[in-house]
Amino acid sequence: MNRVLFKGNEVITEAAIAAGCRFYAGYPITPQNEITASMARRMPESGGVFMQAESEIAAINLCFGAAVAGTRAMTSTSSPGFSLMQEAISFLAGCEISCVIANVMRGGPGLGNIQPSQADYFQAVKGGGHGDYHNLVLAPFSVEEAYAMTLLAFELADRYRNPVILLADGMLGQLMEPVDLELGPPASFPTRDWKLDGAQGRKPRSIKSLLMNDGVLEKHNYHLAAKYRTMQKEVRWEIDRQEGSELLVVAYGSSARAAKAAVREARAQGLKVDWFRPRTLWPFPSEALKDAARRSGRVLTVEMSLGQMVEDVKLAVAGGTPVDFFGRPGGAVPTPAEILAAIRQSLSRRTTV
Amino acid sequence: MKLANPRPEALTEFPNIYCPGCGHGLAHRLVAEVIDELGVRERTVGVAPVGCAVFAYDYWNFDVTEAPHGRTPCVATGIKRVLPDRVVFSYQGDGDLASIGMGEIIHTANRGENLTVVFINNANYGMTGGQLAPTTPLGMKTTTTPAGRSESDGRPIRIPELLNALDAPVYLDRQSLHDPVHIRRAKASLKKAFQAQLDDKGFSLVELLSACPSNWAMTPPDAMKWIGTELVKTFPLGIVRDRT
Amino acid sequence: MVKKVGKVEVEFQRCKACGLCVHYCPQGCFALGTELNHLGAAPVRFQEEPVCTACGICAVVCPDLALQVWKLQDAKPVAAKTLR
Repeated sequence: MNRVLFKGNEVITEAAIAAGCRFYAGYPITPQNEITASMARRMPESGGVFMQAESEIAAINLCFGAAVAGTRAMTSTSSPGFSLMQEAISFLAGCEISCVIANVMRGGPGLGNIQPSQADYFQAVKGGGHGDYHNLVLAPFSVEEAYAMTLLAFELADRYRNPVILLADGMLGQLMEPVDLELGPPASFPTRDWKLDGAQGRKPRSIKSLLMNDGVLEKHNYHLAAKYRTMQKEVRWEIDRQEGSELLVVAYGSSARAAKAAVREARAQGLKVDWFRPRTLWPFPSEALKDAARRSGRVLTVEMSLGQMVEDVKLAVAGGTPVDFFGRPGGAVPTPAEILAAIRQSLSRRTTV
Repeated sequence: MKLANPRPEALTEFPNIYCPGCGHGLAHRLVAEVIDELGVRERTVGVAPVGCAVFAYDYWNFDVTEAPHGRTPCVATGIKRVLPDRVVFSYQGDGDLASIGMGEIIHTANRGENLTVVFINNANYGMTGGQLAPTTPLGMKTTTTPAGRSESDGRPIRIPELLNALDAPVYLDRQSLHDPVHIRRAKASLKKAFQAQLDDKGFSLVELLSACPSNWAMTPPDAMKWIGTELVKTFPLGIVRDRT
Repeated sequence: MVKKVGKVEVEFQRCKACGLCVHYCPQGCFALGTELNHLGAAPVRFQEEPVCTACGICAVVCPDLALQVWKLQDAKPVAAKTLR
């Protein structure tokens, strides 16, 4: 057992190195600068390449190149920088290139502030970039899970030839928690049979997403859609349920921690509340959520935003269960006390409805 | 009977879709000839731009990747940083390099990345139908400067001269593809630029003045003549920096 | 009787009739044709009468590699003189 105290941002670096990531390019932006700074030390130590890029646009495109050349590549940023990366992410998806992008979310819109938020959910999960595509989105809620999910992110990026978003928030990035570093290395790093490393002894290859000939792009989109269907099996969630639950609290990331504390307190006060935490936001655990929601009879979604994941919660329950929302936007973090008040309010709606 | 001009191995058999008289056909062939002469076809990776040459991967017989518009030097840098023994080059037009990609080319040159950049200057945005480019000469009519480029559109940008303000680049040249003599000189310059990469010298860029007969509304021979008499007034030919 | 030194074959379907070889050939060996290829262009025709020296200039200016320049023999072009 090798438990080390780690800051969330820095553990992402550690996990990336352990996963065999050997190229990082990033542009400084708060609250994720510790990722860039730790990469500046750890990447060269590990025989990899570190670059401080001139912009987030340059950073993600440098990763595009490194990934095309066959290397596990990663960039990290926060919300405004994530906006800048959207075009390249669409290209990564269209060209089917493996790449990991960490977004340590902060308050927005615009320049916003540097406090934690979850207001990039739509951007990460519903697109952000143009075209019909999906990112795999992993949402850690502890420093230890950030380590494990970063390892997983690289594995999934290669397994599916897809961009993977590690969606964290400013609080998780700054938290320090113990991490068991013996979580093990990932499964083997598959050789990329699509990489461009010079046509020695083989036919030349190309990487492209421009498909102009009649019907070709449509076919490619159906191919991507089929791939996204196979990615559904990567869905992950966590549930804490009890008999006789009357409310299901749904939250991810740092909201889920505050919600977990609120649920614990609620139960201590005799309230029947369950807790559901999506761990992948795409694919979204719709089936499991619908099931749990039906058993509880009412849902309260908690987010650090004006309400984004709540739409997927509503889609998942498909009108079968009422869904309430509590959130704080603009970089504010809900406290367990506030969430408990929201829990009480949701429960009181049960008796009147 | 001997064939004096065998097809370069670094070119595919695929006929190019460029307009009649377009300089891209020439530039692609010159790059291919240089790569063959240097014997590096099997370790070359090219990065194609967004522009008329977006389909360059159909014409070159080596690994080529697409890149988001203007980010071509970043993609090239990413490849070269992780595969330093490969020959990596970017091939870009006026919009890709001098407009949307201006930030990227300056920083790539400034870091002295060991890359070769082929910059095709045809004084307009060809692919999209002939709009103003950073390289459009004053007075020239385009679809977005119907009255001719005026001062308020900015004056044309000379890229090798601009990059000459940076410490790192080792080879910055401007040549032209407008007649046999200049086409041969252009090839020699490209060869120097690629050799600089093979010698690990650093960043090199060769700008090539290139005909766009369609958007200039000229016949190909007239377009070639216009380069030689008019375009060179805005973009003088010759070495800007040679530290190879 | 002039010994023929060079000959150019035009790849009919590749030529786009841009006219650059017509313009740049020092001997005037090319003229635009009249028959259309699949591109809708009327490819150039290589004329036997002016003497081709296999200088290769046409191949240098052709953007489409539509011209194959053949050296018929090792003889020097008729106009060459050794300078002392």
